[in-house]
Amino acid sequence: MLKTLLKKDFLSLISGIVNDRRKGQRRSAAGVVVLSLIFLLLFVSVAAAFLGFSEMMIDTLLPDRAWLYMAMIFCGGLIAGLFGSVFTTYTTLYKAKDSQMLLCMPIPPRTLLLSKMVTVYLMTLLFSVISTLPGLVNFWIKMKSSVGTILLGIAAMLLLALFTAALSCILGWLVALVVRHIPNKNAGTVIATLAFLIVYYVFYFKITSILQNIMLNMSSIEKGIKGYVYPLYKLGLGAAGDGLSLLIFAAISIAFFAVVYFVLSRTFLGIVTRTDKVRTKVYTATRAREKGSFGALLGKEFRHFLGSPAYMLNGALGTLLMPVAAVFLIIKGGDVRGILAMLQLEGLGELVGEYLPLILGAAICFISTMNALTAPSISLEGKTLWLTKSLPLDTRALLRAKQALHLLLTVIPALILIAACAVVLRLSAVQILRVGLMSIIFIFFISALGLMANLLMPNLKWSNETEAVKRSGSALISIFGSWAVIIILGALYIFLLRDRMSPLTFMSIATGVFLVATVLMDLWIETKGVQRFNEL
Amino acid sequence: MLKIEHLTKTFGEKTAVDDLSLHIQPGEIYGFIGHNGAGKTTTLRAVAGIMSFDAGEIYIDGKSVREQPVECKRDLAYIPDNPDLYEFMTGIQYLNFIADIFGVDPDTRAERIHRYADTFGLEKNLANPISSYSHGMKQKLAVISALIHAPKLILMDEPFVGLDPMASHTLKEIMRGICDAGGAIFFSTHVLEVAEKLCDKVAIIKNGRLIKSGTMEEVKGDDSLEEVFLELEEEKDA
Repeated sequence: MLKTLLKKDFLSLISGIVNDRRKGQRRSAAGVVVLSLIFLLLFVSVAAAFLGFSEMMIDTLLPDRAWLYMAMIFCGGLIAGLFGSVFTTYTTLYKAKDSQMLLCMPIPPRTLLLSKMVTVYLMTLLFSVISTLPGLVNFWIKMKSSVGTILLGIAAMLLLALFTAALSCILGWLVALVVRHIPNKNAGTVIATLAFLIVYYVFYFKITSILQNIMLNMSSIEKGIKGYVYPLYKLGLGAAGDGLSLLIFAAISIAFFAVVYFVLSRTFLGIVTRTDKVRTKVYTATRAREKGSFGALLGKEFRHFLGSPAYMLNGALGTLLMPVAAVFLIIKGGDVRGILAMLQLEGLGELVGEYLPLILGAAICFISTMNALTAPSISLEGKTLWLTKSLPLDTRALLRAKQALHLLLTVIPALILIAACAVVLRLSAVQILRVGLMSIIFIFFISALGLMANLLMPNLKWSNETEAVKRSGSALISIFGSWAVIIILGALYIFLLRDRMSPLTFMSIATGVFLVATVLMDLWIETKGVQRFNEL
Repeated sequence: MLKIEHLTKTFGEKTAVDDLSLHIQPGEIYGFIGHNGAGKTTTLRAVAGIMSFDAGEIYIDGKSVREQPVECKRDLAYIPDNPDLYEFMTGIQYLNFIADIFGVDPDTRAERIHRYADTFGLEKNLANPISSYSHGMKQKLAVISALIHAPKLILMDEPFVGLDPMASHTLKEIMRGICDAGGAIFFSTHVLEVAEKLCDKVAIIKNGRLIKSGTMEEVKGDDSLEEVFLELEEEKDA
């Protein structure tokens, strides 16, 4: 039974690589190779980051504190495994689409849970290998390790994945409990994801100082691990070559996994078959306000935006970042003005004055690329496309409403940021106008670029909105395309045009280029774009 | 009210609808029956203006769907076989959205929403998100939204699927009422008993071609509609 369930999960995984679910077709051999290479590239880049992590410690810790080096490597692997798998674990255990169907069959719920926990294990194993193998290989080379030590290291990697899987399953179970009691799931998801991102980035930016602290407080950390994190101590010793210690860690990991399995199996059926609580409201009639068709369409776009955490998080980070940047600028205004005053004392005042609008404009343009609301907007119509098409609407109005959402959610925060820049940096009216024009026209440019890309590459066959928002060529073109435009223009000025024209002249030309490109794209949208939408 | 002339639609090499012509007069409930994949949904989608077609013409109240799509859509309502509605809206938000698009004034829409939502027993649920609705509730909401602008022509694709017996009965009464008031309804169904009892006229389509149409009496004679349909299907197999 378990074998059959695992085979099903394996087939589902293979199907994700071999078949294009969007088109409902088998990928070509070249498509499979390209997809595999993309994954490989992703794995290699993550592994390279962990290799850097091991490089930071290896010379200090080896050969005397080999176990501590290993403990640190596996600690990194544990954190990476948990970060990478906790939300997927929740979905795998409790939100799998086939759970209801499988529970209708004569499959004991415990067996189904075990198959899902094995899937979680394979997922954490992948994270474990990517995050710990570079450190292990580095260790084996440096210490010229024997085959026995290498085998122990590999076993430690497999066991770490088991420990991480058990921990991840507990966290997945806690997520299931929390989700049950959140009244507004969309807001909850957005807040949890933002909190997750903040923790992730704080950890990412603090990693060097964390490591420096570790190096400075080596003895107390050694004592701490030995005293309070005994399994990690044994894992470190085992991976460094102590077979008995690894055996003890193996016993701890297996027992932990078994206990988690036993505990979760008591609640599994209840959670999987539970229907989410819906707060029902009784409707009382109120007089509606007539909006007109454009108002109705814009309202629809806003409701869709507010009703989709995936759309909010992936399409409108700039809306959050720009006011945050404005507040940060106001708080740190004194420091920024101090730096500018210092530069003026060094005789660079004129140069700063010349370059400041261009630098500010480019920075605001860059932050505004974090908003990609038009890029998935056609795809998000999905199965409801029939509705939009069956209504007596001018397609141009529909497309303009999508652009209006992007503009409202990007231009207003950008104006807040521009105002903060103007106050803190004491910009002149002309400088404000230049920064404002460049940034606002660039926001119009992104809006048109995203919509055009999505009209050319719509993905209407998705089963989950995240697919439409994240996994689409149009989103990639909108984000990376706008970055490329900024980088290319920046490089063009720095390497070719700096001696031929002033930054302000270049800024005017760049603004003009954005304007012309935007007008051309808008013309395309109003003609060919409308035609393409009508043919969808 | 609806004139379909020599409608042809192909998907690659497959001809989904082949030279189909039909005329529906005001006051008629016109049933459209055929096997799965016969071309019913394709025809309805073409009439609704959400699918282009290769040849032929479709006129709604004298206006060409090809030439004046927006004007045609003002006069009609389309209810698909699967009510995929905006799940991010509540029922009332959805109805107000549709009313805004059709320019229905607040007093008229309030009266119609109350009348139809109350008739279908959905009024209390209108403040809840559509994502929390059952299939039947979504179908009821799709029907109410189709009636909110008092269309001259209603196109329905399997409208009774998912409706409870009470709602089915209510829908049939509403359909009759609309046609008695001069409107027209063109709907597809697999429930031949319903078609037989409800329709003034019926068209049978097979592999994209219209094989029989006319008043119910002309099509079925003394037999039941089911017998006639099965006979025609067997002719195909033979």
